Amino acid sequence: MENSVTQDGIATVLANQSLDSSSVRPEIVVQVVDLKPAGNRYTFSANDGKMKIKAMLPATLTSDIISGKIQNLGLIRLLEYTVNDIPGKSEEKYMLITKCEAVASALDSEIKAEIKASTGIMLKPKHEFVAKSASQIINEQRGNAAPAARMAMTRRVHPLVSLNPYQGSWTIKVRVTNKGVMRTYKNARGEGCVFNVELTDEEGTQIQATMFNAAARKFYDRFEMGKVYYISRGSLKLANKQFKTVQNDYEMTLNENSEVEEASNEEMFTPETKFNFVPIDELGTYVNQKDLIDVIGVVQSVSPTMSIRRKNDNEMIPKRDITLADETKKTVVVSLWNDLATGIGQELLDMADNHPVIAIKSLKVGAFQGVSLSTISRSNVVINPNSPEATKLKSWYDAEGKETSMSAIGSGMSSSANNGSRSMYSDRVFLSHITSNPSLGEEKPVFFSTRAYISFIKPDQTMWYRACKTCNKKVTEAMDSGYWCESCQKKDQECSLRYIMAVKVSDSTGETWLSAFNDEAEKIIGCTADDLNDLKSEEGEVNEFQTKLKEATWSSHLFRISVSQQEYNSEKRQRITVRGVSPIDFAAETRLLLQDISKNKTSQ
Amino acid sequence: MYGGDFDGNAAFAGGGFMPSQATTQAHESSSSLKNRDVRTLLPLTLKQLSSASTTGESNFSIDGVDIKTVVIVGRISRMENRITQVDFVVDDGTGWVDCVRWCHARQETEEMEAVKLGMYVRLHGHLKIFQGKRSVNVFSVRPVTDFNEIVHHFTECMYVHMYNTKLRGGSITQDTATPRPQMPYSTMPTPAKPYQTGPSNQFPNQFNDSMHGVKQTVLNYLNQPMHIVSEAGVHCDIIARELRIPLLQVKEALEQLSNDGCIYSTLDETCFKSTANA
Repeated sequence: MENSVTQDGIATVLANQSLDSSSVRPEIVVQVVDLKPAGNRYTFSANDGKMKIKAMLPATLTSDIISGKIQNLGLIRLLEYTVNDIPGKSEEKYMLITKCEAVASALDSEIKAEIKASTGIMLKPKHEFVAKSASQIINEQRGNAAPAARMAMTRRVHPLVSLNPYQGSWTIKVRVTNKGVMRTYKNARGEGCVFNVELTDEEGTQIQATMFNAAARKFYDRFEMGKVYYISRGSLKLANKQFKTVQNDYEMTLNENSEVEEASNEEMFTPETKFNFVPIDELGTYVNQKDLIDVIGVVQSVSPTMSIRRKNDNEMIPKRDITLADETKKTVVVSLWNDLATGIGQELLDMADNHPVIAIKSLKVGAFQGVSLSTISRSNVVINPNSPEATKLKSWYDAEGKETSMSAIGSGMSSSANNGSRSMYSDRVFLSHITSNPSLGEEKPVFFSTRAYISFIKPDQTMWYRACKTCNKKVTEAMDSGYWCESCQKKDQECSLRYIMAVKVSDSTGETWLSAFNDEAEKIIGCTADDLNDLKSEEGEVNEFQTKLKEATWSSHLFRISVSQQEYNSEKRQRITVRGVSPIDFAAETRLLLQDISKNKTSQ
Repeated sequence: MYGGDFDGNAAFAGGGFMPSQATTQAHESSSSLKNRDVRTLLPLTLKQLSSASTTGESNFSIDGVDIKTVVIVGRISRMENRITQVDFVVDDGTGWVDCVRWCHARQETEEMEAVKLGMYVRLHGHLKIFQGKRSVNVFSVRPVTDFNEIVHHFTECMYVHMYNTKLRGGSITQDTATPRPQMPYSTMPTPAKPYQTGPSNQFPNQFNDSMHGVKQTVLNYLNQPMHIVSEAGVHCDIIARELRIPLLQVKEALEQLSNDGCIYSTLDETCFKSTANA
């Protein structure tokens, strides 16, 4: 009697889910079985001879266990405990013991109860049952309130802005607003895997959380885009500027002991996207920096979708260019890539005439054409956002902006994104800009576009060279017959001719010579070098060769040219090379001239 | 890009390209010496062409720029075929001009055969006085196939006129720094360009028409950096002597430029300074 477990003790425990100091205290003594450490605590099975339940002792009692006061197969009296469900296993429960005391040291063996049928025993349990019923009702009433209060205490939520590395325990309630892919890595410390998520709380503050190895494998499937979670027991450190992607001084690391619990009743919680806009005229300072910036502007034009071949894997990626303007009266071209180009980009094309306001989050700033912006995978585009900035910008545009002549931030001229060959317009120069500056192109080649007439092609210049049909390099005539290619190290019976020639061009400010190679010269002359050579070789009254050259003379083209310096007889001279030739689009050219005329009238 | 397609050294070793390069050298040397000798290709309306000032049989200028080769877009309103040439009249709505196309080669004859009475054409040629009248010696006549070209031509005449009368001389203020690469279409001439203008030897018969040229020359002179930094400005006698323009014309030009706000007087009524950077 002195050293025995309470009959049906575990059943009593299950019937009374929690017990604290204020409760009426039934006598519950259980045997400790399978005692073993788990982390900084000890777990065991609580045994009453008939039933067992998993239990955990608090860390404060570890010293009692070590000193032998509490022993495996010993008896303890329960003073305070709570019973919880084991997550994922709805039928199993476990007991968290807060306070207990040792009753007896280890017994010889695990207690197993035997039931004896006798009249006397039958009467006695009936009486005890009635008494327990009264206690049970009271305890149940208290028990109903305690878990809710405890739950509220447990779920006290910290805003993200208040977190810092020196804080104790905290819990955040956040939505997953971005989820990266699981990546494997290999470094000096071995192989592993990593992924990260972007978390946003109710106030819109964001933080990035990173998980490695075991934690990554544990939580990768747990986190779903757009869902809300309670997260605690992560660690914080200063954000690495090199990889900064969200605006927070800290970043979070979760390990396998971190707690992540989905808040399933939180579907209505939609975090507001928080923007940190940079005016268009200030974008220059961000060029080629690692910062991602947000921009808001009025859509001026939207280009058709283009396909760009990616260099590293030869895949075709859709791209669309849009032009934005804001109150600074500057415009900037934003390249939308992938889904943004085909999805929201198509929406913008359909509504471009209404000049909607759009806000874009997380753009990369590049130096193409001076200043340009590109979306990345995490970029977010909002059309006509409900925000004070958008309202203000729309008012400015309706009152003043639509009449103002804008200028591109990168080049001082409006982009004509609606024209197919945008690059042919944004850096347009007169010939005098080049010829009046002999040192142009000295440091490195510079590129321009120019529109000019061909005023002279010298008929007696050598216009072509004999080229290898395989590699296009120059070949030499072999001794016996055929042609030898030094680069391919082989002889061929045939070769092709390729242009290398000079043409004189003129515009309203001057004239100059241009060097043209095969592809560009074919567009200027209108036929291949082989064909022109055939014409030249013809004998007779008619000289088609001369005719071909005269037809090419006094034609006008849009040239893409590069200017560089070349040394010849120890003297430096400018060398202007044609990099592209396009036919003239007179309608586009007229619009460009009118833009410039308007701009100069405005500046008077 | 072209490095892979083409071995430059091998091509140069083969010769052929060098003579053209030598020609380029000679041309570039001459082009940097005198701005006014640069051979330009001016788009003009026929009203501009008929009102251009002249100092001789083949010396015309407009907006202070010498006319060398002209581009004209208009409709052929009269056409007469002769044995060695085709005489025709081109009308663009602002005026008309006599044109002559000499046909020595078959290509020239074929080109003219493609041109019909009433057709819109674009022509390049040289302006001269022939038998007491202005006429264009035509190098090339091409039918207009894209009628946007007509509107474009008129727009470009306006643009080039604006460029030569305002931007080239009057907007140095915006471009005193060294021009950057990637300059836009309306790029300003480099500061070196205006004061490379040589002295004008024109003694115009039509005084009023030529005043604009004199004004432009004087303004370019005053816009030179050394005169801009000078506190006292430049005396009108020095201007006349340096530019070899009669003093009376210089004074007239200075008065008009002062009224326009391009220059202002400094120590007294005879010394002037440009308002650029003022």
